[in-house]
Amino acid sequence: MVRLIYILSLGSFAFIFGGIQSCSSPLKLVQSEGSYITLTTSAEDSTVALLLNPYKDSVQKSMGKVLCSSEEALPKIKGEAETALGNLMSDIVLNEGQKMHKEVQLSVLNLGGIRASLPQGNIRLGDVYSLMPFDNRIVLIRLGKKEIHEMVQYIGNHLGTPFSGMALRCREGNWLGEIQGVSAEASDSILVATSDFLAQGGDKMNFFLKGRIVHDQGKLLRESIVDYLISIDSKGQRLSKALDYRIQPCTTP
Amino acid sequence: MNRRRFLRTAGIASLGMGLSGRALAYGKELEESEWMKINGLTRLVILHTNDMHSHLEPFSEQDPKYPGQGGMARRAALIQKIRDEGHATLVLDAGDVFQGTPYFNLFKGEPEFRLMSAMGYDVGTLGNHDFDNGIDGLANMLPHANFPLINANYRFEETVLSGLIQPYRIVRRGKLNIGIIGVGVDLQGLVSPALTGKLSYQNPIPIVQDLAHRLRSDYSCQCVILLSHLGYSYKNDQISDLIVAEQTDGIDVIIGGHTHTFLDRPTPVKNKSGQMVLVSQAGWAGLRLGRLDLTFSPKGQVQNFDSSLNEISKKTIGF
Repeated sequence: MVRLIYILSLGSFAFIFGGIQSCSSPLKLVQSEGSYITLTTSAEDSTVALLLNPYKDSVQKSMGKVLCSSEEALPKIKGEAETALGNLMSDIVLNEGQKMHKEVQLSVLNLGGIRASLPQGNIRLGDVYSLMPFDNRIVLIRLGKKEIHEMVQYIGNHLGTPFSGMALRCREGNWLGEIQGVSAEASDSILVATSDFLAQGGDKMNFFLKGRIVHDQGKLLRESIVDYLISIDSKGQRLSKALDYRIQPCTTP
Repeated sequence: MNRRRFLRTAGIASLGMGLSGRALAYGKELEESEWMKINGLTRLVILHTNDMHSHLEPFSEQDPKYPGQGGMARRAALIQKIRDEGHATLVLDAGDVFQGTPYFNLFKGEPEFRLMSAMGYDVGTLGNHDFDNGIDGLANMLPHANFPLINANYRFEETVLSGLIQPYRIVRRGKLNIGIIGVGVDLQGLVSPALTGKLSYQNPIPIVQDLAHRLRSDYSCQCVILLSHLGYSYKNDQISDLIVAEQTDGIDVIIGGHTHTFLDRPTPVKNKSGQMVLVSQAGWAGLRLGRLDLTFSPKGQVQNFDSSLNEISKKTIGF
């Protein structure tokens, strides 16, 4: 009934409709084609640019402050088990969590919560707002044995989930967590630092819903990141983050 | 695509049908408008974005992934350039306008809606992040949008948005009646319940099916577009644009969002009645503008067009 015809020129696509759809007006859709235009260097519409200007000035004024400098760009990446940016954010949250409560051993965030890359060179306040635009707070949750198991499997099965304080290994299709050399699942309970979004079951981290919230008024995640970047700058350091292979995915035989 | 080549071959192909003989008898190339006029065709150009996430300015030149790309003022100029081609044009957005840059933290969505209004957006739908400042936060921003936001599968009755969000919109362009239906993703696990209050989600498939039929039969729509924030596709059985396309009929085009999907070209999907639906999505952050060209023919020309297009494809790809 319907015949498909590709027109292979410059990535465009077209097909025709063999079927006749009933309608009271004589016009019928007979062909549709589509393409995508990437916006690179091209002219700006002056009306829209003028409309944006006052907002832009205001953003530059309040967001232009340089927090520190970075050795290299830290890109937002999907599809990798571990990313430098995920490690950076979860390390910061673990550190903040430990300031809130000395028993905190672990931090867990969500890959979807990393919203932008960090550039090489100057990192401005606005870059951190783009990285973490949400007003999410750090929350401490105590998980029991069963929830610890669910959490370890969740992280392993959602590759790229940022976490800190644990090593994750794959053994015959199962994920095993180790905290300072000890099996995570051998613990009766673990205190975890995460965000209020995940604490409410966001991204289907349902194990957090079954845990007990110990502290729910921590710093904003964004504030923690800003403070960390300022602190390394004040020590005369530049931002640098490498992979440390905290997760070793299952190898296919 | 190479439009000149398309038109030239189309002109030659049409010669056999006796449709454009005169133009070619004088040995000149057909202009597109002339060719369409001779064949009695109407063109609708749909321009679309999704998941803009408050990226009003282009990405910085230092961005490791999209250096210097995007920007609303550039998009506005591009949209105007395409409007100047003279076809009926629709500009649509598939949701998640809000959240992602300091603009949203500082101004709560006001510049996003004001710039979209200035650019002539016709219709938008709601994404999960459009609720990031709660239902009230969204309701407060609606006065800055001069275009409607539509959604058919959220229940707003017990919220401040009651009466402000319609399930569909009909847009008229000349003799064309275009029905546009809005649908959104299940907000559970995406938006904190404190932000969505008494808003509830419903399965979009039966709703879309019913509305698509009604728009065609009761409102004489010759074209029905689904403006969706469901997501392009998933590894599990979560409802996606590809699933809605397969399990319904009466929809011509799905303009999607949510999954930030970059496609090489829109995906053709066979619907439950064997007709083709074109599923499209334009990445995110205003990095791209999606463009769909739909051609409508008056009665009786489907067969002619079919054979002329066959000719074109033979000439273009050489089979």
